[in-house]
Amino acid sequence: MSQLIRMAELRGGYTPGADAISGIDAEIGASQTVAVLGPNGGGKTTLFRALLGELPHRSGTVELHARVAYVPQTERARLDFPVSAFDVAAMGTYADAPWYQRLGPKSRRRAGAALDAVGLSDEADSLFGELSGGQRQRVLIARALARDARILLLDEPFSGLDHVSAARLEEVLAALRADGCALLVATHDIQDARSFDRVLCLNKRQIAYGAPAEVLDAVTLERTYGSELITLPDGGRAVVIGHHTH
Amino acid sequence: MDFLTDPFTGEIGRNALAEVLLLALVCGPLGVWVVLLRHSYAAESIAHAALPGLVLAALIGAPLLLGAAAGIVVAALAITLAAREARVGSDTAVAVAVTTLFGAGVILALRPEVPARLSEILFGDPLSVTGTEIAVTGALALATLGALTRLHRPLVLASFDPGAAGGLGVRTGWAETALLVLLAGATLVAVQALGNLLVVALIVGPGAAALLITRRLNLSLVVAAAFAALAGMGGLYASFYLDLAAGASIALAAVAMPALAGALRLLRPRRLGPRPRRTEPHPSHP
Repeated sequence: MSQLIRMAELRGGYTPGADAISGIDAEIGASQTVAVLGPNGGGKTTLFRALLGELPHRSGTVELHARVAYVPQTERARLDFPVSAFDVAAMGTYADAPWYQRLGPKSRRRAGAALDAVGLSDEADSLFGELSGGQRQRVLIARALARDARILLLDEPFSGLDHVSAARLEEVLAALRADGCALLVATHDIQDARSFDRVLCLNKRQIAYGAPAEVLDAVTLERTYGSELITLPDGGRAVVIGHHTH
Repeated sequence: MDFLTDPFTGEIGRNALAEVLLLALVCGPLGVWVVLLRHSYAAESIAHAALPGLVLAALIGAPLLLGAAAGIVVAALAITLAAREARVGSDTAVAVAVTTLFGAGVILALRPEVPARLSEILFGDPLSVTGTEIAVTGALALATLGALTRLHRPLVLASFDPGAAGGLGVRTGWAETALLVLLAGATLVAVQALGNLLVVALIVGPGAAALLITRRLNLSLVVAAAFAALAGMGGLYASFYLDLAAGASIALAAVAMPALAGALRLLRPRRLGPRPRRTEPHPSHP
């Protein structure tokens, strides 16, 4: 398994001297899925921004051996914007063509293939805002694939999806994993995190990183979530999600 | 068919037609972006903030374009300074700075020594444009269309999904600022034909109308330019045949566009209207 990401002693934040994340040490290989768990404000988005090279202040090591792309929550995109599913997928090729050139056949083929990979070829001409939440999430994944990204950073992709949409999205993510992509998924779902290859627990610093069976114990979850963690009557753990602002 | 060509047989009519068609090329596409990025308030504010500079230019006999440019620079500085105070916020800063400048402009405008050109400043007069002014508008049209082509992809991401732009390798931080600079340039040049109070109509009206009845961005940019051209020509016809003020007629035609587009959408909801959001098809019923 080839390594796609190596982070060592990674720390950083938005203003000098005020680290939003610290002590990140993790190696992530091709075809690995990583659940990034943590409370709101715990540093999940900051970690993604560090991997994207967008964090203003950063120290430590980040080695990326493939192109990385961010897949936002579908609610963050404008639903009234007049673009088709194909247009959105094609945004993934924007950086590859000079500004004065129209998107060429190669870019259009890549956007089409990316939509095909997420099972939405038939919806290429549909308006993005008229698709279901799950379909929109898959279009945003297609946009990342059209960028030729092998490392995908997904921000709570299952948030707000019904179980049919979530099942389809899981199929897409499984196919991407089989295809050699590394998937980092920010999530609040502790139970869902057990199905990932690795779990990275974050609360401003790295609390734990490893296989779910090693990491997801009561002590680590308590240290990750603090007072946001509640124990359910059946003994399971759940997280109380507060208001989320970026 | 002479009634269609009669208004443009003389030089005054031809000049007015050339000016409004060139302005339509600028204001239509610009308006689509202004509406998509929700900068309509900024568009109106920029125009109003130029008033004291325009009046001062009229008082001292300087070119109106220079006066308007100075007014906009002062407004931008005042807004930037006021918005630095977090408790004030940019909306309030714009409202206070622009109202102050507009008030100052009115006080200056009421002085007896202000020449009769004042109504031209406020309401515009496309029938008075000169060949030089048409050349300036033509240069602006070229520069604006070139800049909008350059800005197209950053503006798409800045308005559709700004948080993801960096991850897609496109920088958008400067795109909105550049759009506001283009807006200021268009406002400056269009003031002569449409006036300080009415110029915003040709920017916002056709853009909003095009977005109401099109389902693709590139098409809406073209349709907005066509709507702006229609509004410009409609206003000139109204001015010629009904003896109305040309600038105000164009502005009224431009703001009528969204109403007409809305009515058209009501008549053809399947083709033009928004469609209901989908639910995911169930796997067993593909």
